[in-house]
Amino acid sequence: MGWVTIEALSVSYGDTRVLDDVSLHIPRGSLVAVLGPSGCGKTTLLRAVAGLLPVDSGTITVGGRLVTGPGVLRAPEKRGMGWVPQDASLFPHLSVGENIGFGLPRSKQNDDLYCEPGETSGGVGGLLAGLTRRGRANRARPVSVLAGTAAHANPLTAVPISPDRGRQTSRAARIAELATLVGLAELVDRAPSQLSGGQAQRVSLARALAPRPDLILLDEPFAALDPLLRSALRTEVAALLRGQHNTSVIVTHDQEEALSLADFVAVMRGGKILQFGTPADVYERPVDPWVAGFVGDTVELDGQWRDGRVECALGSLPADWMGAASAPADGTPVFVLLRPEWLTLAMPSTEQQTDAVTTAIAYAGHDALVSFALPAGLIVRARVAAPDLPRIGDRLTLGVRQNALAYPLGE
Amino acid sequence: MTELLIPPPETDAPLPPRAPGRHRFGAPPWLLVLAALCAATAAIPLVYLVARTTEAGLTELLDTLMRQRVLQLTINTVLLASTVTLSCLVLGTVCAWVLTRIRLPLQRTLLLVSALPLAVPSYLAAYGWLVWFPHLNGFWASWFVMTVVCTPYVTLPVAAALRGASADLESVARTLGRGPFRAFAAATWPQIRPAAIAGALLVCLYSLSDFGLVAMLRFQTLTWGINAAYGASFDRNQAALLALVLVVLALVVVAGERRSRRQVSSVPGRSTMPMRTPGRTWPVYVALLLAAPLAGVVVPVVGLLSRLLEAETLRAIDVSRLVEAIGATLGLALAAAVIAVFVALPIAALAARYRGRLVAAIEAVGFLGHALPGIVVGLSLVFFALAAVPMFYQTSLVLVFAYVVLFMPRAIGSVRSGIAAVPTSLGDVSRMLGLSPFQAWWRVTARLALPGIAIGALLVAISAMKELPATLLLRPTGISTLATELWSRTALFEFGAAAPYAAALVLVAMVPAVLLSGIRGTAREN
Repeated sequence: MGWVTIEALSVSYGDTRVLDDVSLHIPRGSLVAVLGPSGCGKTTLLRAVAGLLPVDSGTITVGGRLVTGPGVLRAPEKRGMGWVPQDASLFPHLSVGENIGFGLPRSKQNDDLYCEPGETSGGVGGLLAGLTRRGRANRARPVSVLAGTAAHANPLTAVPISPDRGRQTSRAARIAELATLVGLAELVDRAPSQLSGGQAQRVSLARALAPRPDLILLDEPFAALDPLLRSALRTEVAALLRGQHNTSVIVTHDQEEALSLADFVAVMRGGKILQFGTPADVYERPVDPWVAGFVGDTVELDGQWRDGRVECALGSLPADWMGAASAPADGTPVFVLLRPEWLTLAMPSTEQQTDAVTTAIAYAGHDALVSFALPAGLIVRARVAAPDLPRIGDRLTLGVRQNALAYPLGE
Repeated sequence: MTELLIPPPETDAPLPPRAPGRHRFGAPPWLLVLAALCAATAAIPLVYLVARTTEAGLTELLDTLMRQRVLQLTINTVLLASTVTLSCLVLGTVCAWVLTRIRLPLQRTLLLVSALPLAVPSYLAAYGWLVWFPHLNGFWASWFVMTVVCTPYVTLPVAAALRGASADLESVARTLGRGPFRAFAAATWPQIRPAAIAGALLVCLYSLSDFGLVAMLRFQTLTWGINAAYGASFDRNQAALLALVLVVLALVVVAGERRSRRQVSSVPGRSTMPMRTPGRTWPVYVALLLAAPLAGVVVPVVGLLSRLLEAETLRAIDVSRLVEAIGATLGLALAAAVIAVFVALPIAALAARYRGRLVAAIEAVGFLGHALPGIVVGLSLVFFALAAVPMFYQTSLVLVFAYVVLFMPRAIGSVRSGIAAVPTSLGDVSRMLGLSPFQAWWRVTARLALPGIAIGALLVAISAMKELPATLLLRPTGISTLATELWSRTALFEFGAAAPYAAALVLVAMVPAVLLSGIRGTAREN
């Protein structure tokens, strides 16, 4: 069982079924990427977890608490989750600091709203465990998630005189702490309109982190940024989320983002989860050719299964059978799949390996995708590191350094 | 006033799968019911009018309809409305083209000046001309004054459309061998045509339902006929029937306008057309632009001032009466603004966030006041108050209700765009950060939509201050507004005595207008 457990979840908009029997188990403290093409239902899944939309059937539990289920639809404000939307969505009428502090209780009467005992893991009170009413209420709960924040908490515990005063102090301190965490300490008094896209997205993240949510949900948070900024920011955000020991779900349609950021990747298509596994699993052992093509470049060939090997245009290669049933009979036609970087180049030799002619090079600086024409007329592409690039017209021998993947035909 | 000219955003255009700013699930039932109730109030006058006229029976109805008099009034109305529409369309389009395509000195000021006639109620313009030419009357006089007053309804949206129109298309047409005029006709006109038609139909609606101007210039249209039938003979069936004919004409026009809005399709591309420097011909262009403001604003205002400054007028000012009228005008307008915004709020919130047939129907009913001439609402509410709530007859309550029905569309329009401009993701974020739906609405959505809500209230206030025909019919005995005082004095040809009221009306109506520009300014900065 995971920290977040989604069982048999279905959601429809009118007559269209957007999520179809989705189940997902998210381990505590992990960063999970939900990857899929647009319209596959990944944002709907996230909104269902957040409680922002009703579901047809299925259950969602977080930390053992049922938040969505038959007859249960806990209001989003009572779920203790953080939400980072695609476009940052900062409140334009509040300063950066006030945006970050939006979810932090302001005064006593607001307190219950945010801090139903047991609602949020840690929370502001967790920072001052034992010193505030809420802190005491929360102390009973496991606070292992707070281990990572102890360093931040230490300087703050000295101040409070009364619980309320303490809360005020902690609110301001928490805002300052998060502003520093996302590297925008000097911008807390700015208006959101004065921020760049990347800065706005950081504030949005800080705002979501401030109340110490059980679970952070990020809805394509980097999609609106330009590519250079995107890759820089996502590394930073991933480090930050891991540093906070948060459980996070990030929705994205960018496979590079999903593979580079996440501990686990869930690949979605047409309202279903096709594969859930580590990035390496998903990339190197995709469950079907569609997943393989969606998460990366492929080399696709027709072949025949023969005793743990496939015979194809690249010769007889050792292969793994990826079909549901056990390995097929010898001679069965199969669909052979490789990654371009699994191909190796060598000077032509007399051994039985395949000779290929270089026909095109798509240069990308660090490496290149090189197209080769095989004797049979097929074109395959190999990823070649830049220093080893052949020239067009060069005749080379292709080898394969990893087991090929064999899939049943007709998928 | 320009809010009138901006068509509400399309409600039934195809949207991308994840349309920002809208929910994909149905509206909550309580909001639907509340909005439907609010919209229903706007339907009371029309429903009651139809019920009342059909009571008499179909044969009698047809019989009265075919009378010479009714036919004559209808023909006059249609004639005036169509000629004014045509002349405004031509003059307005030319002015808009000059404003956007010719490099003239003081560009922004010229745009502002060409919008000015909108600020002058038609009867005030008519009054101003009568001050200079007391014998002015009939069709041509009405056509002329109405045209200059209404031209900005075409100029402003067409100028906006021209500024937004892709100039690339016209350039492409030029490179493919078309001359400047043919390139404009082939490439640019299709892009601005919807705006021009929408503006022209607004003009048409305005001239159909106008009462003050035609009455002062003694051209007998349906509005005039309704007032005469109601006032003179107490043949109220006749008045109701004329009102019904007028409503049918107005609804036809509104239906036409709605259809024309559907045609907008924007072409991406650079929107700036290189402007031409006019050389020595610039006075011609400036004169063209200034024609309508001169005739619609300057002539009447100068006439008004000349009368105001005469010693005879100054001596005759009844200060306490004037102050009373100002107080009544402000009080009624304020009440109407506040109530209209409250009634509009549920409809606007629904229309801004949800879609569907029911939502569209509720919004359309809320917009009914847009199509109903003031005199029709006034008349129908007289009937309604007498029959249904006699204790309220002859109270300010009914009059304020008439204002609410008439001007609620303005409030709905601006409140709706105010709310729609607040991304729903902000609501999601506040919910996720621990706010209940109402807290989120209050602390985020309402807070951010406040400029739109305030603009809605001010627009209603301005319109209510200047409203004449419904006020004439519904005002309680002993209460006069600036508009009715001006009207009753002009009707007796006491132009001098009318002047202080006219001046006060212009000044009082300026207060919300100034506030309005202030709000817009800050809204833009944000």
